[in-house]
Amino acid sequence: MKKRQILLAEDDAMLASLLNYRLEKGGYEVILKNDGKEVKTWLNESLPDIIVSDIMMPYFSGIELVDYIRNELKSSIPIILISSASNEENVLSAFEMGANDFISKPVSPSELLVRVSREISRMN
Amino acid sequence: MNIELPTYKILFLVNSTTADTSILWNLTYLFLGLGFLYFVFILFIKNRLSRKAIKTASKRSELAPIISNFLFHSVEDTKDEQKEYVQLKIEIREYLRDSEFRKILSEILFDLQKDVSGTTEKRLFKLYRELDLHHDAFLKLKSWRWEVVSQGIIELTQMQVSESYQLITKFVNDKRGTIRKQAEIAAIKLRNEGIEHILDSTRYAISEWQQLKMIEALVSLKNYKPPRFKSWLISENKDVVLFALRLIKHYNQNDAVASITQLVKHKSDQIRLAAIQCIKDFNFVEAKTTLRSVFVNCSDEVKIQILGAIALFGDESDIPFLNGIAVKESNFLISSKARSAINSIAPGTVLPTKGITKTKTSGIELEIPLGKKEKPAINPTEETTTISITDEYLEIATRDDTEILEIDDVELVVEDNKEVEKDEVISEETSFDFEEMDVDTNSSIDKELGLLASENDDLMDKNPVVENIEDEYVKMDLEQKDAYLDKIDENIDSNQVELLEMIMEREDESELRFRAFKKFKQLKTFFPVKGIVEKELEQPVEESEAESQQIVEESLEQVIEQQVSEIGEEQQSVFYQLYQKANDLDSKLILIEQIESIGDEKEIVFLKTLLDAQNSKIVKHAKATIAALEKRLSGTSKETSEIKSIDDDAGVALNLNPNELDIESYEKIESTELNISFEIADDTENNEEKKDNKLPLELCFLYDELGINASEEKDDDFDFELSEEFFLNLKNQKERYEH
Repeated sequence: MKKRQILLAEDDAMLASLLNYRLEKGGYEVILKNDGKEVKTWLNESLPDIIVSDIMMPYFSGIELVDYIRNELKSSIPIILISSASNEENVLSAFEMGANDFISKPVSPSELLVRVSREISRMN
Repeated sequence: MNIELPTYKILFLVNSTTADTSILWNLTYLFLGLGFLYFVFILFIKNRLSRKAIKTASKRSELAPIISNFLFHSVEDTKDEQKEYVQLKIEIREYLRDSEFRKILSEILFDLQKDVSGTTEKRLFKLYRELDLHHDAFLKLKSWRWEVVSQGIIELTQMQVSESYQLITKFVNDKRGTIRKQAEIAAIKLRNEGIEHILDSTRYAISEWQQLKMIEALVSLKNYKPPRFKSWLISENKDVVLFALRLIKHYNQNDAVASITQLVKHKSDQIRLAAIQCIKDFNFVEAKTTLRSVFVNCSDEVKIQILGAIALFGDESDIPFLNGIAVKESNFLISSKARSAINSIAPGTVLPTKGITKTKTSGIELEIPLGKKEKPAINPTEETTTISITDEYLEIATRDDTEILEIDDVELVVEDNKEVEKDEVISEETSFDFEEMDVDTNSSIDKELGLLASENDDLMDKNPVVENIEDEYVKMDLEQKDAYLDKIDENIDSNQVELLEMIMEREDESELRFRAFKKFKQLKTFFPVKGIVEKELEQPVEESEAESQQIVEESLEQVIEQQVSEIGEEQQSVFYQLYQKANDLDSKLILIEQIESIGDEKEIVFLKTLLDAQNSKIVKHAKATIAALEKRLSGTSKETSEIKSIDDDAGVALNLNPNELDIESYEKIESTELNISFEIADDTENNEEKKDNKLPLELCFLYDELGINASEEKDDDFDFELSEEFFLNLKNQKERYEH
């Protein structure tokens, strides 16, 4: 059975590694990207099953990424955003742009895993 | 004496001495060398730091999967995973011998701890301890550098090393502020009893920011049961007391009424304010008495807080106290707050007074602000009221005419506050027992307090004489009333003024009412001079304005007649005013020339005053005119006397508008063969009425002199223009007389 592909966009290497480990252990194939530019380049070539992205990233923020995916790529793939800035404005902007879920730091990797699996089951 | 200035010598002295250039070059090389060394040093440090950062980053990336493996390892993992886990453990043990590696590992775990939560976080803490990394943190606590100690405290706190509690609490009284603050937060976070330890042992001040940080730390604790913080209200450390009050408020511990109330008497304003805030928050009504008793000796800020508290839970019994403050207190903020408090307790008691247009009221407004209940009229026979008040504010409120007269017959008993200690200044309270005041005392107090209601009182208190006259008048029939009004003309006094007012207000018969009004208006014109009380008429009069205007004009004439005698002779000349208003010389000369043809004795007096004028032309003209005028007047005395008699009959001066002469006058003028052409008014009756209203021309400026503004209608009637024919005739007449 083919593993579901997750694009994980996170600039903090340690956290990215931790989440990557947890998601891989959870049965997903994780494509790890460190900044928005890398994500954008990769997205032009292929689309994952789900995207987990930090809001605060270099070059290209998570909200801009959502906007790009929804309006430029015209894709409806599930997007889960992670941010330490859990202010209302950011959350609302993300949801307005078309984000599916939002998780704030400190992140519980187990919780993230549950949310990812929930979004994928919704997609199915 | 000439002084030679040795300027060239000064220039010589200014010249600099020759310096050795080799020293200068050596210094230049030295500084260049130092600069280069400094630059090399900076480059070296920068490279070292970046190399270290690269090394750390590579180690981090190397350690990341190991840590992840450790964190997410479980017994349910596959055999391969279990093997890998064991292998990693062995590997890491080897690595841990390297202090640099330990340092990096500690940093990674410390950073990661911020980003993860839940079970991962717990596993992270466990891993930290399993790897004995906390021992490194313990060593940091022994460092002499404050930043290292602080870092160690933070690390141990964040990694939840509860064993470090004893070590960290030692720093609660550290002389270094940063370490102290860090230790306080750590103590709270590591153990639930940490806050108690801090409150018990801290000797240093706890800043407000630190207090908030500690409360934040307390809030983050799970399953935390706060102690009863009232225990620390007795602390000798002022900041501990303040923090305890803050904590009491935060955890809603409202069982500390007595302690908090006692703190209102604290010597520190900060504690007082905090205690009052607590009292307000918990609505400790019991503390009201204490608040009132300490009020006098408090600072302005505390006073305002106390007033705020009383406003919150005060009742009607506090209003006299608040009124006293509102009147007595010199600080506007406090008096304003007191008034605001009164309005909070009894809304609408104190009304706005600033910028309010005053309206004439029929009587004084008395209001006792005892809440919403209205106190009945003050009666000395009534039972006395007992009001609790401190002697400092034993005052009776006095305000503007629309405001409040507060205490009249009261027995003031100041309560003895049991909670106030006797040795404190605050407890100075006195008992007063006032007996009922007699009328004189009452009125004298009123005067002293500025309750100036005398004018209104006059209106309220009826004069018995007037009452009798009024009664008599009411019983009269129409004819008798008419006769009575006629009698007022002959014998007028202040009582009859009041009677006239009464007639104007109450009389049913409009004619009588009008007559009373007419007489009253006459009195109104004259009596203010004599000091009789004048009262504005409140009721509108229905009679036509023209009639009332006529009455006023009649009165004016009488006044004018009285004033004429007081005016200087030269000013009685009509030309006096015209001359004064003439701006240029030509106008003045023309006026003087005019006098020659139409002037009389008054003008001679006026012209004589001009002989002192500075301008020679005026003096010359004046002289000539005087001579001509005297000649004319002496030569035509007979004719003049006839004209004068006509003037007297007609009631107008010669230079009045011919329109205003009646037929009779016209006939008389005709008989003197003056041949003056007048336009004769057809309506002789109308002229008859008007003649009484007209003034001699020489008196026309008296209006200005007396400051009286005649109505426009009146002004229209005056016409000073004389036709050319008039002057021609006068000239002819003059010539004829000369012949």
